[in-house]
Amino acid sequence: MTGGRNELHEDRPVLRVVALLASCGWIAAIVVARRGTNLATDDQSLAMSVAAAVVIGVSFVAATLLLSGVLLAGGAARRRDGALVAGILFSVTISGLIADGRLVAWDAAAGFLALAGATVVLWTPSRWIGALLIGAACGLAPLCASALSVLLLVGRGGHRIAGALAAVVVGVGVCVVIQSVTGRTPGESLTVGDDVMRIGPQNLWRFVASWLDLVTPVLVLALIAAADRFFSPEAGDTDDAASDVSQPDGISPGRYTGAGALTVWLAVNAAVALLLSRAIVGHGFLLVLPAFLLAAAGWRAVCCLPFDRSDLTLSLFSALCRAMPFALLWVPFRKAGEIVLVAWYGS
Amino acid sequence: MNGAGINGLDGKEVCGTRGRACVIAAAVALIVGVHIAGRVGAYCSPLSSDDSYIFAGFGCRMAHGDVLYRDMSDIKPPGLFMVYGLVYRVAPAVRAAVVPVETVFLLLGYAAVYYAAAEAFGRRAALAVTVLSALTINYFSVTGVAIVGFGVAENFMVFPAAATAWMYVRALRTGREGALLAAGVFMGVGTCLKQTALPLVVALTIHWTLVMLIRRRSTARWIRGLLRMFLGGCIGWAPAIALLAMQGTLLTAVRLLTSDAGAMLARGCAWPDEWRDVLPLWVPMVWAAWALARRIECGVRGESMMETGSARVVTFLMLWTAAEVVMLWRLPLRSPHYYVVSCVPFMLLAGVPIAAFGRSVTKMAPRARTVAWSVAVVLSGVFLRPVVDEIVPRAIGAYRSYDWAEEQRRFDEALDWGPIHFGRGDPFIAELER
Repeated sequence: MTGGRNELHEDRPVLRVVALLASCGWIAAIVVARRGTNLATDDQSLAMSVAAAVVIGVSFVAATLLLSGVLLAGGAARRRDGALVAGILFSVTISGLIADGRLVAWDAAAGFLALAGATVVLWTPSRWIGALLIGAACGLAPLCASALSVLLLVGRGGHRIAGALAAVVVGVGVCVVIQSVTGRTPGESLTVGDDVMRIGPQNLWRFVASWLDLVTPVLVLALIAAADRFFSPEAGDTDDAASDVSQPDGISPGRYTGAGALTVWLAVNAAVALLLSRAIVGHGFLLVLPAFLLAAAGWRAVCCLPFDRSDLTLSLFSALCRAMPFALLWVPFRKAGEIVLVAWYGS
Repeated sequence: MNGAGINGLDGKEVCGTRGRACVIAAAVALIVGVHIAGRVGAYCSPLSSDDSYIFAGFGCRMAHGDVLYRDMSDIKPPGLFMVYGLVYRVAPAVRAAVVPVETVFLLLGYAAVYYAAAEAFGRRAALAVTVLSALTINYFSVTGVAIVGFGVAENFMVFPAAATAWMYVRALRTGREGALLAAGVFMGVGTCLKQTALPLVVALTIHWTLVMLIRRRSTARWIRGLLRMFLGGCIGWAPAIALLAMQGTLLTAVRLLTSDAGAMLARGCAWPDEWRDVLPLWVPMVWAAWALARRIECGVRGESMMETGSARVVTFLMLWTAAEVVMLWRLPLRSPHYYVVSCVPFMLLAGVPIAAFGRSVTKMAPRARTVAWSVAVVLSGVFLRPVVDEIVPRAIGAYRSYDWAEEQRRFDEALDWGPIHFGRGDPFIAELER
């Protein structure tokens, strides 16, 4: 039998720091470039204010640090590898979405809160803090309501219901406060631009397809993690792939609900995306949030494919599988790079 | 935390039977979804060619007493006209009447592809090959510009072509010569639908000759096998020959289907212009490249990449693919609907790398094996997504622009053509004799 050998699980702190700095720097550069291109466009609906740029930049840099494990340090080296890859994937993917032009500050803040809330619920014993964060995210953007599935599926029976109820109460409260302060209603958070509303169904499919190209790398790893969780005979038995997000400290082994809950969250979002296909173009970032959390587990699963000198073609397959998520990053990277070039030469 | 976890998602029982059931259900759902999108796109397309009106119109006229190859004729064999004639014996005179029969033939085609691939490479590879085939067939059906593939002979030929391969592979693997008779029947049905089934006949004959005369050196079995296939072909053609003989148009049909149809060859080239024209074949081609590397590696190590006996099947499929390529080179029109049936051997060949991959991952630990299959499926899906992104918007667009009244007007016009002959004299020109 072969399998499971992986020589990439060495701890490389310098590489991690450099990669994280580059990721965060890339997000900051895109936000600045995106803001800079406001002057070059006539479409004011796509313009970004200074406040929005700050919120988007801070939210996504924080989310990158969160996903890459910096905010929740610890774990084995192989876990940190997965987290680092998830962080890099997040930063490049999100840069593409920022460059795409329809990402709003409310969604960015809500996305960070939902990611943080789900992470806290899954990784730490402080589920109530997680419930508050998820509730706040729901208040900012109702599309985050699907994150309640994490609260409803993880934990003991009574706590699950109570946590979800607490999140709903917080969400309603945040919604009321926002409405009274800014006049922004929950319905407005689901609106999309007139240009998107005018698109016919067959063109909308193509539009959504090109949007999906931007998030394909992270969806690939998420689907691999979900498949691993669902089909693998050993999933949850080891400190590997799916259990990477489902074995927080303080939770006894043998209870493997993390990756499952994230998969359910992703499935609910897929159903929402089918029902509200136009929302994907404007608010699709919120629908792929669980995929960002599953990416680390997906990377860990990919890393269990063997490298074996006696079987070169299988090793080639393993290498291609590891390279593919990064190759697919070319699409969002190019999208973001175009904005940077426009801003650079435009100035 | 609740030990039971998420209902239905936790615990090891999800593996095994239930996992397989989910995969099969997903594959069937994908096939059905793609089939519906493809059929809607092809049927409703405003580009829908005159071909579907000609075939359906001729069938309807046959059902109401007109004589094929006398009152109306084409350089195509009588099979499809007879099928449509039978349909219009019971169905009203609308073009939509041929939708169910075409769907039945295509579904039978997918099933035959599955069984042919399962016979050659096992069930897991067969499932993947069937999904690929459904995607490919429907892609080539809807992406035509001059001719959109609704109601055309190629859609009906998938079933007899794949069934021929299934029966022939069964005969090769089990030695049952009765299967050769069945292969002959399906070959007969295929050639009765359109002459473009001939590459399969040629490939099969050459392969049978190679296997029997060169490898096994058995002249008696070679002759016996050829006779069985010929007898099967005669059975496949028997209804058409009987009908034409009763009508007294047999000799006219022979001239139209041979010399007149032959004049169409080499008037153009059906070979695709760009790689994008064969988008669904990219993923199988990448897998084929991997399988080639695998074959070389296994050769160096002195191991077998496939199961014993698979080499003969692969040789047959490669011969068939080569024959289809040669034919495409000589067909008169660059239109993707020709690829619908030409892609069948290539799709079956796609089972080779899938089977080889399945065989190679058996050495892995169970977890790694599951991950390897998951990664292979997910990444193949990512690169096949553009195929769906091409089929579905076309289907939506065609559905929204569909005009039933205009369709009925065109169909009524086809019924009122009177004496009409396609392909007599100068091909491509309809000679009207009102």
